[in-house]
Order: sequence, then structure tokens, then C-alpha cells
Amino acid sequence: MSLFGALNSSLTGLRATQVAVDVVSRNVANASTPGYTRKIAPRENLVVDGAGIGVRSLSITRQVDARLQQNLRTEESRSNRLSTVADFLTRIDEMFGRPDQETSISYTMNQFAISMGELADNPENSGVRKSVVAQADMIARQLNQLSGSIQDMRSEAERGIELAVEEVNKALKGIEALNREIANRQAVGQTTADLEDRRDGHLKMVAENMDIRYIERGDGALTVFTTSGHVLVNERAAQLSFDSREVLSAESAYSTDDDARTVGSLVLISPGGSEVDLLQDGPPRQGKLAAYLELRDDRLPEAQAQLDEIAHTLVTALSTHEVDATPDTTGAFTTYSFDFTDPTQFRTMRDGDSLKLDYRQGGVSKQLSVYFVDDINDPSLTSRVPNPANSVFVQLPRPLTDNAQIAQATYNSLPPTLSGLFADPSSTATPGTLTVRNSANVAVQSFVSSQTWSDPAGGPQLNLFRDGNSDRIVQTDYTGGLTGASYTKTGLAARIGVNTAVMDDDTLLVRYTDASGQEVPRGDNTRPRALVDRLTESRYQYSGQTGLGDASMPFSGTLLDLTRAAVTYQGMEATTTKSLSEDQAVRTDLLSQRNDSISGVNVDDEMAQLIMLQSAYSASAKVMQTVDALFDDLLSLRR
Amino acid sequence: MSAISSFYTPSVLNRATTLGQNLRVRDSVSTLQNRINTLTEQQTTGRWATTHGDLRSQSTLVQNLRQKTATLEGYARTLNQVQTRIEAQQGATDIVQQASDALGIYGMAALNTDAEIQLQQVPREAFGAMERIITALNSNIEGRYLFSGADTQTRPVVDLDTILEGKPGKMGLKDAVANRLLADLGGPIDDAGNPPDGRVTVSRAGSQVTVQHDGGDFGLKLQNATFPTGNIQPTAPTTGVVGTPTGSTLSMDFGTLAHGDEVVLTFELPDGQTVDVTMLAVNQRSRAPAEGVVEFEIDDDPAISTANFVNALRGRVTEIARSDLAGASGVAAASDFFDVYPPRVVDGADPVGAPTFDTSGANVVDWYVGARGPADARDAMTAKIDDATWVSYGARANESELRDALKFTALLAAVPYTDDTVDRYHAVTSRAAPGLKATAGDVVDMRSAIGVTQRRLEVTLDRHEDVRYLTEQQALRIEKVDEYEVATELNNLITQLQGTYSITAKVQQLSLVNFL
Repeated sequence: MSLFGALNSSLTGLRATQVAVDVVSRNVANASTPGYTRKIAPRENLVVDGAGIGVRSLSITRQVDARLQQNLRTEESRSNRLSTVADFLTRIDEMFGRPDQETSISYTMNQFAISMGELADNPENSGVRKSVVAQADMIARQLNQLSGSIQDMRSEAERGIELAVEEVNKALKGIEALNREIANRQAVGQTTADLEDRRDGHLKMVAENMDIRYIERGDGALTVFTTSGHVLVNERAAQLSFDSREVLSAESAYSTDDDARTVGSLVLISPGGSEVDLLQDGPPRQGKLAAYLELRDDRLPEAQAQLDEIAHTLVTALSTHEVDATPDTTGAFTTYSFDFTDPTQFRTMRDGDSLKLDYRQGGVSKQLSVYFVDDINDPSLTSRVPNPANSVFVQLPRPLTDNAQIAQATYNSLPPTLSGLFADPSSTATPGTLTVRNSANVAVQSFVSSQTWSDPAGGPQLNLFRDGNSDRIVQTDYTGGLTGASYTKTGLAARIGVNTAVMDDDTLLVRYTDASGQEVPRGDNTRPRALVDRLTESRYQYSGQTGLGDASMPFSGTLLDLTRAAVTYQGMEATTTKSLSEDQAVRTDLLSQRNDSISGVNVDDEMAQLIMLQSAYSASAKVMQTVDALFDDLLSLRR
Repeated sequence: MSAISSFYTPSVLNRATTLGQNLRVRDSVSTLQNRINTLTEQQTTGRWATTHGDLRSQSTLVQNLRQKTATLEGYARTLNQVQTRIEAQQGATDIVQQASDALGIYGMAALNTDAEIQLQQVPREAFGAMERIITALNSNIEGRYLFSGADTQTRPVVDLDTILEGKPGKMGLKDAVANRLLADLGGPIDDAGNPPDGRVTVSRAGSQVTVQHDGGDFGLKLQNATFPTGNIQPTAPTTGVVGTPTGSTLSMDFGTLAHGDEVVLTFELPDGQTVDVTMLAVNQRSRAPAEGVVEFEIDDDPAISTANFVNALRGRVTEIARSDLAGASGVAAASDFFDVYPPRVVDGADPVGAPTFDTSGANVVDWYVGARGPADARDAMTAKIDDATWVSYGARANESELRDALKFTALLAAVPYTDDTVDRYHAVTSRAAPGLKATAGDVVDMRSAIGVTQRRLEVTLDRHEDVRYLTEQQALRIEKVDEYEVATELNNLITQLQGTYSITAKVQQLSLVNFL
């Protein structure tokens, strides 16, 4: 114990206080810096040889709760996914406009139906005909536009992924570098608090884009994984790669087959160079990347599928030539038959043509749809028809020049449980005719064939809409084909346009050649009447791809029902996701506040501490002054 | 991790950080502002939803209701339009009915007066009535002809002049009637030297008499003969009248005639009516034989008896030819002209001996050029007046009611009235006038049927108005904001925001920094 000891102790006190003031000053300076964590200058009693000789400053540390922070990162990933998805879906909802302004596709469709009804009332009125064409054009354009917006959003999502990948890669590199430095400094006992703050910033960046887990190793370095277990940073950082296609169209889709894939795929390249396709093996489940992927491959294609379904139904409903089977009541049981070889009723069968049979068996209503296809082995067939469980596909004979074989081919394709309903064409006098028979417990309700017609002169159906909407594109007829190149439903909403023949000559809305070969008079409303009924009264079944129903219970209703359902569905999706996102934001906020309250800076606290430090400093100085005085006294003893 | 220092900070969880505090204030202010924006928009638009999504599951319902409103408005437009058209139809049929009724009454009156001056006026009256009927049947509203069926752009009835006079290469009703008269009568009506025989030849050989009609489709067709009593009997064949390629023939043997022997010959007129001629053998002709009875004297010489028979029958046939046959001929010609499509006329260049019709329609005016289908004229025009409900309200000038009115009127206008052919005109009028009266009645029936449709439209329109009002109310009930609620909340929020601002300002002052 000596005065020198006291002097030394107070000197260490001064020094420690200076360090603490320095930390306070930095805390105050960074009080408003996001991501800055409050720093603390811990100190301890400096003990030498069992005796205290003053105070010692330890290396500056951060005031953080690591577990809380990791939770926060997870919540941030969720928040980012939901808010990104909600943002996109809200835009779709907004595309339909305010409900009271009646701008959505369902209102346009209704106006089209109303104008068609007016045409039925005034078939000879060219003004009304023009308004029908204008309304039809408006629907086509609206579908084009909606489809365009959705594909723009998909392209945006694709670019979003590209940007997110860049961000993640930069952050991973940053983490790698900081890991190294932190480990080095910790090894020599230097402070790593500010470096950790920086690293947290990078970590937050990664977490915003994808869901991650991380653990801190003993040397202070972090190991970062995806939640599916792929290592992102260990000693060195892995990198993501994304082969962006920039601009997507409705036909662009992800496929596990790289050659068939027309959108970008996310690949994780480990430091050693090995590659993992994340989309096949543990794709991101949260964060912006997950949101963009979900939008690009799931949500937006579903919206597109709904528009395509609207376009598909619109085109085929108006252009389908329907034939009711001919009943024969002469026998004990009524039979219904189609003579496919009758050229006045059937053109040569084509991929996508169909027969629909409604019947009651033992009192239960049943349905059977028969689809004629070019390739019965196409694996997508069942997903392309609304009611696959009750559908039968018939391979069209090749080459097909007439319908002579159709009846037999249909009969042969029926499963044994159904073939009993039909007569075997080969055992009848008319092998070109397909006949379904009533029996003791089977009552046929209706048996109708559908073929899309491409000649506007034949009626009353009319191919008012065709595939192709620009002057530069040659319009083709949309036939509703199901296999191979004739399946063109995907993206139809983007391509649908009003038949230019009708644009050029709107009397085609009314005039056609009837069954007797005569052109109907100008005031005849048979055609508009048939068309308006197909728009407003006829009920159709819709594909499960729309998300509006499923394979066992397909959504069915009028075309107007479909448009209403689509608008509501998109609105509901947006609102639901938005409210999920809002709930998530509240959770994230609370956690973030909690984290802030632990790690953040309170200026008042710092000021209070500054006062304390000031008095501690003054006290230490006072001690030195006193010791100085004591030395003076001591030295003055010699005089 | 380095432990939280025990140097300072007693309870970390209760600390408010400066940044956090500022951010929170900013957050709550912006939340308040957003809410105020939303409420302001709701207040100004009167509706709480900005997107379909806001309406959530009610979105489908709202779209349904709004579309229902629009659809009902469309139906209302259609209904009003159809009503206008039906009213016009009613007006036109009213004219047809009145014209044919008035002409019918005039014709009947003329028949019942002895003065021929009134009968003489009938063609002129008919001409006027025909003009009115044609104008009515050609009524056009909003550029649509109401009586052409579905072919609304074609004036259904050709003009009066063309109907009566024809046009180059196509004969009109006048020529058709005149030709038919020649064909039916077998010669000009007023040829005194060679009086018309209705294409009936009566000849004798000994006690044999033959009555033969060889006019084919025309003339007085010998339909039947009955032999009630006496000695006059048919010979080979004994069945009586038999058909021939050009008509029919009857051969009789008079045997030894006795007073009171008779044969009744039934002739068919071109309009389907029949006329019976009772040939009665008498010893002495009476001054006034009974109606329809023609007496011929019995002579001791059977040849003279048969000659008497022949002359008497010839005379009677000429009489019939000049009156009933001529009248029926006119009606038949008019029916062939109006009722048959394509119109039929006498075939060949010379109608006098013509045996058949020209059914090609190549040489005759087609009076109606509108659409001919569908079977029910009402179905020619349909309008959608409700979901899955169509109303049929078409009409065609060639519907039997309207056509008959035109037919009889045109006939009266087409047959010339001359002093020499009073009987003929009388016969024509006596057929046409009752026809017109009957037609007027039919047109009234037709009008009441249209009236029922009209009533149905009115009821539907009223119902639509009610439903539309209800639908709008339902949509509003879902969409509309409660203005008082919004205003109140807006007020609260503004107060709250003002409070937040002033407190924030005060809290900002409340820093230790300011007190050091």
C-alpha cells in the first residue's frame, strides 16, 4: 500500500472512465443509427498478486440477446415473404378496380352479354351490332391486358429473384470476411462488437431474402445454413446462382427437366464448386426469394389459369357446334344415337372435340365426358379436363380422313363399367353410329356432342373470338385441343382477339346459313339469341388448374359465374395474404421492439451515465489531487 | 456471448431506446394518417371497399347484385322497345280491322239495296281500304318492318298498283282474276253469241244424254249426280259420275220419261262451294219453278225430250257461269294469288281452254316478300325479357287473318264493275263482304292475343323495377359506409393525431440533454 499505489489506482480509474465516456459518446452519436447495438465498456478489479491495484477496462461488448435476435431473423424472413406476396396480390386485386366503378372483367362480360341480348332484340340495327363488337373487343383487350400485367409481375418476380440472389451473395461474402476478422481479433482479445454489428447487418440481409439458421462457433465465427440444411457460410461462403430469363410469358414454366424449363432456377454453389438445385432440393420457404418463387410458379400462374379458363370458355362457348343425339323411341327402351358419318352434323373429328352424356343410373345423376385426342398417352390429359374422374379419352385413328371409325373407337375406349350403356357399333347395321341405350335402371338425360366451328357462315354458333389479337399475327381458330401442339389454352387470355372477319363485317353476328342451306333474313335473331344464351344461361365445368374447384368437385356455372368467382378469388387471396402479412408485421414489430429495448440506445440513460462517469472522473482526479497534495506535504518535510 | 454488464442498466426489458421511441411515434402517426386517408376516401365515395378484395366473400354477392341491376336495366330497355313495337303492331292491325270491317259493312249494305249505284261504289271503296291495309302492313318503326317476320329490312307487301296491275313479265291480281274467269267460264262472260258454259258440255244421242266437264282444274266441276225417282238412270258405268283425265263425265239414259222424273246434278264451284241443279221432267213448264229446279218438257219424241233437257241445262249452266261461277272464280283466283305460295295462275297463253295451273309463280306478282318461316309467326321476333325468358312478338303480313283482309279487299278492287256484269260483281261481293266481316273478327282475336303479350310485358317490367330497386338496396346495404360512424371515427382520429403531435413535441423536449 503506498501513495504510488493510490496514484496508480486513480490513474486506472481515469483511464477506465475515459474509455467509458468514449463508449457513451459513441452510443449517443449512434442513437439513431439502425442496426447499432448499445456498446458497453465492462471493467473489472485489477488484481495483481492477490491485491487490487485499480480498475481495468475489458474489451467493449455489445448488449444483445442472441436467441432473441435469431428469432427476430426468422420473423423477418416470414414478414418479407408475406409482405412481398401481399404486395403483388394486392396489385392483382387493384387491377379489377373499385367495386362500385364496375370495371372488373366480370362486369365487362356482363355488359357484353347485355349488348348481345340487345342485339337479339335488334338484329338488323348496325349500331347495336357495332356495340356488340366493341364490347367483345373490350373483353378481349381486358383479358390481354390482365394477362399482360400478370406476366409483367412474373417477370418482375424473376428479376426480384435475380436481385435477391445478388444481395444474398454479397451478404454471404461479407459474413465470410467478417467471420475471419472476428475470429482473429477474438483470439487476441480485441473487441469485436462493431464487427459483429456489421455481420448482423449482413445476416439480416440474408434473412430478409431467405429463411436461415445460424450458430456461433467458439471462435466467434458464424456458421449459416438454410433451414433445409444446406450450408451457406462456414469457413467460406457458398454462392447462389440464378439463370434469370428476364421476360416471362404465360407459357414460361418451371420444370425439373432443365431443357424444358423456361424460367430461371436457383442453384447453390458450394465453395468447393459443387452445385445443388435448391428448387428441387430444399427451396427457400420464407423471405423474399420464397415469395418471388411462390408468385412466379404458383400464385400468378393460377391467376393466369383463371384468365385462360375465361378466355377458353368464352371462345369455345360461342363457337361450339352442338348436336343433340337423335332419340329413337320405337323399341322397348329409348336409344340415343350419333351418326358421326353425317357430314351435315359433324365435321371430321379433331383433338378436343367431345361428347357429354348426362344420365341417371339407379336414381343417381351421373356424367360422362368423352374427349377425342391425338395422343392418348399425353400425361397432362387428366389435368386439362374439368372432370377427369368421369372422363374417357378416345385416341383418334390416324390418319383420319372421315368419321367412319369414330363410333367404334369410342366404344372400344369405354371402360367395361360403361360400355354396357352403349351398343357395340360393329354388331349393328350402322357401324358409323354410336348409340346409348336406356335400360331398366339407366335413363339418359342428355347426350350432346361439341365441336368448335371455324366457319362464321355456319350457325347459329359463331367463332366471334379467335387466337391472335394483333394485325401482325395471323389469327387462328382456337379449338380447345388437349394434346401436343393443339393444346394452346395456356396464355390464351394474352392472345385472344375478336375475329377479324366479324370486325370487318358485323352482320356476321346475325346472318348465317341455316340447316336448310338458306341464309337467314337480316332481322332473324336466332344467332344472337343462341349466343346470349351460351353466355348467360349455359353452365360449364371448369378446369381444376384454376384453383376454383378440384378434380373431384370441379367448379361449374355460367361464364358470368366464372368471371365473378375469379375476381372474388383474387380479391380474397389478396385480402387474406394482406391480413396474414399485417399479423406477421405486428409479431415482427413486437419482437423488434423487444430487441431494440435490449440492444438499442437510450440517450437519457447515456446522459445519466455520463453524469456518473463525470463524477467518477472528478473523484479519481480528486484522489490524484489529494495524493499530489500528500506528496507535496511529504516532500515539504525536508525543508 | 459477453454477458450483459452488471455495471449499469437495472432492468433491460423496461428500457425505451431513443431510436425505438422515435420510430414508434413515426409508426403510430403514419398508422393514424393511413386510417384517416382511408376514412376520408370512404366518406367521399360513400363506400367502404376500395377493391374487390376488401369485400371479401361478399365480393361475389356484390358483383352478382350489381350485374343483376345492369341486366335488369337491359331487360327494361328491351321491354320498352318491344312495347313500342307491339303498340305499333296493335295500331296497324287496328287499321286493318277497321278497313276490312267498314268495307264488309259497305259491301253488305250494297248487296241489300236494289240501287246499283251503291254496288258501283264498292270498287272505289275497296281501293281506298286496300291502300290503308297495305300501308298498315308496311308499317315501319325504328327502321324495322313489323309485318315481315324476321326479315325486318324488307317491306313485306308490294305496292297496291303492282298487286293489282302487275309489272312487266308478271301479272297482277286483275289479270289473274280475268284469266281465271275465262278459264272457269270457258269464254268471255258477255259473249252473247257463244254464251259461257263453265267448261261443261251437254250432248245427247237418242235417249242418251251426256254431261261432261272437261275444264281440268277450272270450270263447273261435275261432282255428283243423284237419281231420286223415275226413269232417268245412269248408264255405263252405272255408278254415275266418273272421272276423266280432263274432268268428269256422266251418261244417262232417259228411258220413257214420266212427269216428275228428276236427276240432281251437283257442281263444284272453284271456291269449293257446290251448287245443285235439279232437272225435273214435266209435262208443262210452270211459271215459277222452285229454287234450284230446272224444268224440261217431256215430249212424245224422246229425242225432243233430251233436246229440251240439253237446252234447259245449258241455259242453267250459263246462268250459273255468269253469276255464282264468276263470283267463285274471283274468290278462287284471289285465294290462289294470296294464299298459295308461289301464287297459282291459269297456265298457258290462252286461258279459255287451259286445263291446269301454272304453279311456278314465274309469271305472277308475289305480293308478300317478307320472311315466310317459322311456322308460328310470333316466333319470328323474340326478345329476352328475363333470365331464361323470351317473349315472341313477331308478325307477318301473310298470316291468315291479315292476308284474308287484304285478299277480299283486293278482290273487290280488282274485279271491274260494268253494267253488263252486275251479276258477277254481285256474286263476288256477296262472297267477299261476309269474308271481310269474318276477317275483321279474326283480326280482333289476333289483337287481343297481342294484348295479352302486352300485359305480360307490363307486368314483367313492373316486377323488374321492383327487383331492381331491391337489388340496388341490397348492394348498397353491403357497400355503403355508415357516414355518421365514419365522421365520428374521423373526428376521433384527428383529435388523436393532434394529441400525438403535441405530446411528441413535449416528449422531444423531455431529454436529459436539455437539463445538463
